[in-house]
Amino acid sequence: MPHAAQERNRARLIGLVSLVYAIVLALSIVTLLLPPRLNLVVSVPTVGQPHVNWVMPGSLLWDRGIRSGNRIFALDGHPPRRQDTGLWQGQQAVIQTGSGIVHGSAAALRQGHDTWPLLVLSPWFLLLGALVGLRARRAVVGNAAFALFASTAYTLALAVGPDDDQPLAALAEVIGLICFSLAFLRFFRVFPGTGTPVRAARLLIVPAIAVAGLAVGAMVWPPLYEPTHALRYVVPLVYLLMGAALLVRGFIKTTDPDIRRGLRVLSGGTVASILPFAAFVLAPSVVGRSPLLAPEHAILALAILPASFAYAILRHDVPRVPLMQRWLVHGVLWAGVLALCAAIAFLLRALPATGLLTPDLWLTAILLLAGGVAFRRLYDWLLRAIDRTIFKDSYDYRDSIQRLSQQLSLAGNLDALGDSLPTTLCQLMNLDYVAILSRHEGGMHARGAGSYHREMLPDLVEAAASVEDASRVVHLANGDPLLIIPLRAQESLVGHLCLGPRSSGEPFRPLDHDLLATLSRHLSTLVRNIQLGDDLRHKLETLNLLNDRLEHAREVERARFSADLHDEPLQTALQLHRQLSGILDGANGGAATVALSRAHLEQLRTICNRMRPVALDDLGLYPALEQFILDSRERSGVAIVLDADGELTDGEVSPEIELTLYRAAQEALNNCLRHANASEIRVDLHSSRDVLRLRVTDNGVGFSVPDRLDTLTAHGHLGLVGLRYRIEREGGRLTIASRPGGGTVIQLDLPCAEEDT
Amino acid sequence: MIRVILVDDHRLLRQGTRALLAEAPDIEIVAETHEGEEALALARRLHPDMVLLDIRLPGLSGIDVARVMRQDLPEIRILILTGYHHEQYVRALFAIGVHGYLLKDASGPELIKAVRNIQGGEQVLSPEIAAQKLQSSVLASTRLTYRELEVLALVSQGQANKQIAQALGVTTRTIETHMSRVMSKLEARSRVEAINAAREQGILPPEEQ
Repeated sequence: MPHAAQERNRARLIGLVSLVYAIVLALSIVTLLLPPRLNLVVSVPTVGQPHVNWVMPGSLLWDRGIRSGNRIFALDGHPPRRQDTGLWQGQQAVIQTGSGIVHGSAAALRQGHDTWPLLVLSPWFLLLGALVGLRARRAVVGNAAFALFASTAYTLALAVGPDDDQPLAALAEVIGLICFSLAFLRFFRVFPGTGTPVRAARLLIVPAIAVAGLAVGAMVWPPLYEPTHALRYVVPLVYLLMGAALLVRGFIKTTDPDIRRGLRVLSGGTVASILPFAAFVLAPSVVGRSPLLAPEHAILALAILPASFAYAILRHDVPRVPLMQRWLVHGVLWAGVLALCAAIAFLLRALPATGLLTPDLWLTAILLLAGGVAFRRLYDWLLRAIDRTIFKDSYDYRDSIQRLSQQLSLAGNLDALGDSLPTTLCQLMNLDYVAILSRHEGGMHARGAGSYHREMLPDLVEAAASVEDASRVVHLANGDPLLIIPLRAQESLVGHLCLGPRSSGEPFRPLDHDLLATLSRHLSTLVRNIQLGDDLRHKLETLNLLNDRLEHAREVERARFSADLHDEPLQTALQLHRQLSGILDGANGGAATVALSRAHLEQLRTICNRMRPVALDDLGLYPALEQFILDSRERSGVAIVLDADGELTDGEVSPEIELTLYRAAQEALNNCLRHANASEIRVDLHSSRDVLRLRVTDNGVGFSVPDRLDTLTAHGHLGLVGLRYRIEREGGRLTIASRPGGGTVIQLDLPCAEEDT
Repeated sequence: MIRVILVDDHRLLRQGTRALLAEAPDIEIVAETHEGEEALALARRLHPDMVLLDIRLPGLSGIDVARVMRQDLPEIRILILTGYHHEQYVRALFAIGVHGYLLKDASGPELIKAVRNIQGGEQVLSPEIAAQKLQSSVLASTRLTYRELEVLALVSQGQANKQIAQALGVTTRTIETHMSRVMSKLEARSRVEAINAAREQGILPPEEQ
């Protein structure tokens, strides 16, 4: 949907730019075909000599030494007239200079000035720019390449018309120079492997704008012309050389074979395009010789440049990192600030009172400086406003750290964290998605925000596997760059923080890296803590399971032992007792033997019952409890009473729960008898709709209940702690209320398993 | 002739019991078994006068067998012959409605007398248990609840658990539970003892002559 619309819009824009370019080129050619003209601003006063008011810097008359103030003898063969005042354009002029009388003729203007290489190069650049713009696999790359090539094409097209013919062409050339340098910056700033710091890259635009400013200044104040003239050619050359250097550097640093091939083409093309000019024009002039080749012809080699770029972009998809629209905005801002400074300087010059302030160069420089300082705040504010409204990724470092720390401290587990933190990061840096990967209970656990979804996990895990020590940008199979930050805590890798590409397509800023470095340290600790907590929980669960099994095995073992004892030895003893009773009835000493046999029987029964309360199986919980309480009362002499619902025995409680309750009552009662020194104990057993409640209340010595029941183990109350775990595993709750001298209440609540309803 | 089925999971004890009963010519052992399910099947098929039942049996326990028999075969009398002497068992079984409860270490004459007495319509309790000092109830309150009183009144009118359960719209187990608690509260060991105690205490009206 929007993608197709974008494509259409881009094609339209390229068409429009090309149309405007065609008009500019046509105008240049028309100018070239018209007869050449001389340009002068003439003053013919009623009293005094007619003189030159302004002469175009760099023009033929300028080169002959004519400056403003010089006396004019003749224009086009006759003395200057009143109507010649103002801008005069003609063929011949005779003017008195400091060194003599000069005859200027327009016929000499175009001698030795070959313009056809420029005419050929200019559309060639535009053609390839349009081709790349329409055909590049990624729109941003295509746009940037088109902007660069189109601006170059303009500069070349405008250069076709000599300054003498069109004073405005010189101004247009200045605009072309700025456009070219901006487009150049956009293009080269983000080349793979360049890694140029943002601030340093921003400075690159300054010389281009300064030179442009000087060129404009020279129109107003001609002495500026000489230094500017040379710089106008030096700056683009410097850019070209710098571009070549960046390309070579990128080539060295990149390991991706396809990108290396692309960069090889680019580097080769750039060097080949500059080489003829450097070898045949620049080098001879350095050693004081005349050029071996006319500069106009030498620059024909520049045709290789767009060709190599087009090939690398279309064939090898270079550069891989998208470009920064932001730089264009920043450049426009700077241009605006400088234009403001220039306007102030111009206004000051126009004021009669400031005529005293000379030389103007110093004034201009001081004004630029002051303007720069004064507008710095404004500039910063504008930048932030633009970042906030257009790019949506401006944030305050300190505020953000505070916000993130707060989220970190509030999150007790990864799930809670996974919802808030990645979302915040996405918002702060305007990211496509953020995911936190962590090793978690044997598997990979991921929480993400933005466009993150579950299917991405395998790709992310695979990409993260290669990042262990330092954060790194990894390219996914679909070409998306992914910043992966390893989370390390206590020398171990606990997970990864994965940040998808920024929505603007730009690389991360130093500010982002600072924030992420600080955040990742906190996050690592948190993830580590969560993992340790999980490990502990896991171990505890295993331990509980083992305990359960052990408990169960013990019960089973006891039951079997009890049954075995009951089934054989007890029955045999019974029969033996019967026979003994029959034989020894009434005989001497018989009664004692029978009594001994009876005692033996009783001992066997007691052992059986202790191993497994048979009443619990045969009669249910209530009678078994009653029996146990009776036995306990007999043994201890303490008054123990039972208050229970009769309905409890009505088969509504599972045998397992009955056994748990029985053992719990046993433990609690034994605990009372052992420690409490109570005279009365009350056992309550009640069932409500879904809860079984057992309460053992005594009037004994009591004790101060610790906040954590676990610490009871230290006081020897092992049974209570074990009981508590057992109850909690059944989904119940054990509470102990006691105070020294105030008795003790042990209460446990168990949920009823209502399996048959 | 009193026709008896002998149910005990221990062969040696069955032999012993058989030997003890052989002394009585009016008692005939028509069948014997070691498990509860078979005991029920035999009782349904042979219609004996009495079943001598052990509590601890493989599979269906003696308590379960007694419960089913009281429901389905109320004309057959049940004498529990067991090693357990605990009050809870005695109460529980009398609540179900068995006719006698005798310890296995009872002598031959004791056993024969018990069988004959039960056949004569009496309730029999082992002399050892009867001689035991009755342990006072562990219950916090010995007041009968309305429901318990209702059940006791119906029992005193000679109704079986099954009829009472139907009348009150509950299960027979609930009736047994109520009855067991009534016996516990009245410190009685059997239904008859409980009814007598209730009459003595004025909880129930005196028996009509």
